[in-house]
Amino acid sequence: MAYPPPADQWWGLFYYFSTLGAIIGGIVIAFLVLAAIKYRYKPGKPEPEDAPKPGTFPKDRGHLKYLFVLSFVTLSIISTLVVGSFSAFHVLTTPPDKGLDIEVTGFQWAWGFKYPNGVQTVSNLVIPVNQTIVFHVTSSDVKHKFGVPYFKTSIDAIPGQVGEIWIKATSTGDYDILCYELCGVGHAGMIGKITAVSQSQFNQWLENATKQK
Amino acid sequence: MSETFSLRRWLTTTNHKDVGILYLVTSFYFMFFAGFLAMNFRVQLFSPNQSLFTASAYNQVVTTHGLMMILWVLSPMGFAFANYIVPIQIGAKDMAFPRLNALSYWFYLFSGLLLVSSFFLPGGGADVGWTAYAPLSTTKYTPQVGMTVAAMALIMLVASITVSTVNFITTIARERARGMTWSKMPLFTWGILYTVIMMLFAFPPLGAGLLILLSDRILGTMFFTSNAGGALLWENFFWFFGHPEVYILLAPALGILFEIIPAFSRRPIYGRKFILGAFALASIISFLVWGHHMFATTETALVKKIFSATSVAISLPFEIVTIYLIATLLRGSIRLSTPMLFGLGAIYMFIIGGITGVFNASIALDYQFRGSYWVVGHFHFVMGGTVIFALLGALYYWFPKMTGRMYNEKLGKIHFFISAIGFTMIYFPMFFLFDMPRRIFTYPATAGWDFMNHIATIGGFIFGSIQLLLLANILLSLRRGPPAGFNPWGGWTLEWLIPSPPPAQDFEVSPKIEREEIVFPKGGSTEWEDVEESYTPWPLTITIGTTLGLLGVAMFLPLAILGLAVVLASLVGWFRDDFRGKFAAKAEGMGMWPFEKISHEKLGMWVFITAEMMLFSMVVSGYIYVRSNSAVWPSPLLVTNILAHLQGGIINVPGVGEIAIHNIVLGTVNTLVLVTSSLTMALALNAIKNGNVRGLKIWLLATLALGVTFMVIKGYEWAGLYSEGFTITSGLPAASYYLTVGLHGAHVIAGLIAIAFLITKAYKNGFTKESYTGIENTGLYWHMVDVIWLFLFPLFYLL
Repeated sequence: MAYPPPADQWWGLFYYFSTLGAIIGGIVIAFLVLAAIKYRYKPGKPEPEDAPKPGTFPKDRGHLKYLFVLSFVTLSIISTLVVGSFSAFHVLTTPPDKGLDIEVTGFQWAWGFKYPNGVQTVSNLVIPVNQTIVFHVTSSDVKHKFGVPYFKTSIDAIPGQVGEIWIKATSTGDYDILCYELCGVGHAGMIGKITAVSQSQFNQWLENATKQK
Repeated sequence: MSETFSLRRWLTTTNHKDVGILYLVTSFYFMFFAGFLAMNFRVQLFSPNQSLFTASAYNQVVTTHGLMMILWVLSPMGFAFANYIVPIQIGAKDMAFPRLNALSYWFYLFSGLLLVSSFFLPGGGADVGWTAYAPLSTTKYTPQVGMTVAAMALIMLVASITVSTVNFITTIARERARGMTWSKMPLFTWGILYTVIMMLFAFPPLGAGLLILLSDRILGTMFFTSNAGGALLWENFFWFFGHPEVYILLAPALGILFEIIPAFSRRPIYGRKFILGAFALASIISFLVWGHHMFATTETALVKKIFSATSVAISLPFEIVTIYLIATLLRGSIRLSTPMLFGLGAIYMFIIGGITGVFNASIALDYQFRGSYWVVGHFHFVMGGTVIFALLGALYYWFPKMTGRMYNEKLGKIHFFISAIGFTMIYFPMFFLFDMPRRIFTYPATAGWDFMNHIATIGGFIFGSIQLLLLANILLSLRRGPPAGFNPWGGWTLEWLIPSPPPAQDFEVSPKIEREEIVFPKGGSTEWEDVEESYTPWPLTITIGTTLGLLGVAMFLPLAILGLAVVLASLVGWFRDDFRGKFAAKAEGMGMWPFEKISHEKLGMWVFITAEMMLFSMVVSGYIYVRSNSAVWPSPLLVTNILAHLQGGIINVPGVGEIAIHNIVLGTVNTLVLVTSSLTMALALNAIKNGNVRGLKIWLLATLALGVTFMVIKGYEWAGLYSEGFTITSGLPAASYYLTVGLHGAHVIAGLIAIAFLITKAYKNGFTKESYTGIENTGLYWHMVDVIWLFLFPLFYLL
């Protein structure tokens, strides 16, 4: 399945994190379980020489060199995570072209949209397919979070501030808009819809909407 | 202290073990309460479009579950063990300040009850999530008084924790047995020390945020509703506390694992020094990651990248700790008893929670994760899984010590395995629900989230109901468990060298460390006086007064006056408590580097002053934040006419309009008055050090007079400002001035009350050349108040 931008970036990074996470987590959990089973007490097994004795301070043990090896390996792995994140972050925050600007205002409890020519809609947004859409998101009351899960992107809607994200639908159809920040009793129902249509259908729709204004 | 069920004992005790038990029972009660709430909303979420709860009820239940579990369950349960075990582990007979310890507990209990009671107030309780994001949490969007009461409960908890912090730092720094150097201190005590140090810096900022929120809610200021402050101001306050808080919850749990894993592996912990170093590093970084909760805000990309890098980096020290815990198992002779199973279970949870935490640190993945069930899954593995499993391990581990009886091993093992399976069933499916928003009370059938929610709810019921087995095990074993003896696990620390349960004063003679051994010097004279009893009613009555006062401020003002009267009367009783033969007497001179030369009280006061400094710097940061975000701010620098500064008040500035400036001359005079009072306070201390009681009285009276003068001038200034229309609700400049300067004024008044008390005591000849701690410590506090003013004066009057 091909993901539309910028979800392709997100999924790529997510699979990288998940694969690494599953491998490392699997190894460490296996290490934990196997160590607990292998060295478990069996009748007749002698106590280790350095076993804790009541009232005696246990000996310190451990080697500095293992600490260095461990830190080096960890830092090399996590630096790839940081680099991958930063490059995906760059894509997520940078629209590929100027695109169509939509002003989004969250309010209790729906989303309001405003096209560049002044046409306004509530909850339902019609967009042209294969074109970059840049959302300028704010709120008129409390904090909300404007999220379009299919495109794997979202941004806070904060009163008095404007945040930016972009998407580009690669096929026509309906996509959900959800609110990801608790904003009062209507939070769960703050669901909107993006309808992606062909460029010609969009032009026609916008023309009609402009006339009705 | 043999009266097990005496009401007098449990209401007035100051013994650290009794207080520990009280904490344990209370935190368990709150855990079952908050867990029951969770099972309710798991039913609601079992399938789409359920209607067990309305949206409002659901939000209240979720908010209370979160607040209660994080602040009234996880931390206090860790501190139940800390109260019971830490003094014993370091060889002390009690905490440094036993009465303050009781006060911490009662504040904790009553703040929790206040939170529970807010549910039943008209309009319901807080329904804004545990993060209480502004502006949703302001009166405009959440008018019900329940939200105010919940914020009051939080402030009370902050007070409880601050007092605890003072107590634990002083105890650990000053009460260790002779020869117990920092490097020999047991690791659970180290874990608690790290916890309280982080608490010292994290909780005052929460207190500052709550004060400002309450000022918005009660006094009508607009810090969080105006765009100059608003959502981001609250988030910075909240997460500056909130992220270290995660490590504050984790540190006692890790401390517990550092005890349990070696004890049952029968090997010393691997890399003790490296673990302590990693832990210290993590504690420091924990204050540099709060911005990762704000990746989706409008902060700049550079700020986000820095926070992302620090957040990924914090995984390194925790990874070292985890690997070293597992390395401890190698070549051991592992007893898989219940405490060990829970310990291993906690590590398993920590591996999953830690790895998914690295995902959250990524600024890019955050674009989908923030606010989704992925985050819920992650932090429950850390806080629910790691911390609760470690705490349950601690309960089984120290149960024999606390009760003298063994628990039932078979029931314990069943409890562990079913808990681990149930817990994983609740939270693992949430990693597949990263499209599902948090805190929605229901979801549409078309979303496709049903299956994972089915599993989570079933898991929730498995996990919730098996906890009844734990209760049964405890109740059964309390009566029928076989005797435990001193040391059922072969542990090395001090608590295992004394009887189970320990006698009221823990040790007959004070233990000593000689080379690598803990010894009880035979026939050696004990350095403690005998303590016959340790009961005092004042911690409880102070708490009742405070609770009434807070409820009064929120709802019915006359109640607040009654509360204040109760507090003041109790304080008089507190300071008149007769110490002879009461409260574990302190063994002086046991403090070790670098605390040999400082008294308990003085060290405690310095810790408290640190907390106060954090509080004031956060309030001032709030002022700087709103000021830098405001287009116009009245400043004397705008006024070129020198004469205007002599009068202060509302002045018309060409091009800016009417602004209010403060009377610089009067402010300067007042600053001099306060600085002089510091001098007279120092002279008072000097007088009594030379045995000059008459000089002491004179200089104390002078300090009192100067302090009162300061407040009178302040009152005159405020009256003038009010008459010109510069009131607390007339915008952010006025609000931040009144709030910050008012908070300072409240500290001056508290200082004046203390000085008035010192004067009465001086007239009763209560101070001598040898005994003047009260003067010394009140003096320290008074100097702090003056120093704070030296910062506030230029910030508010001159700039």
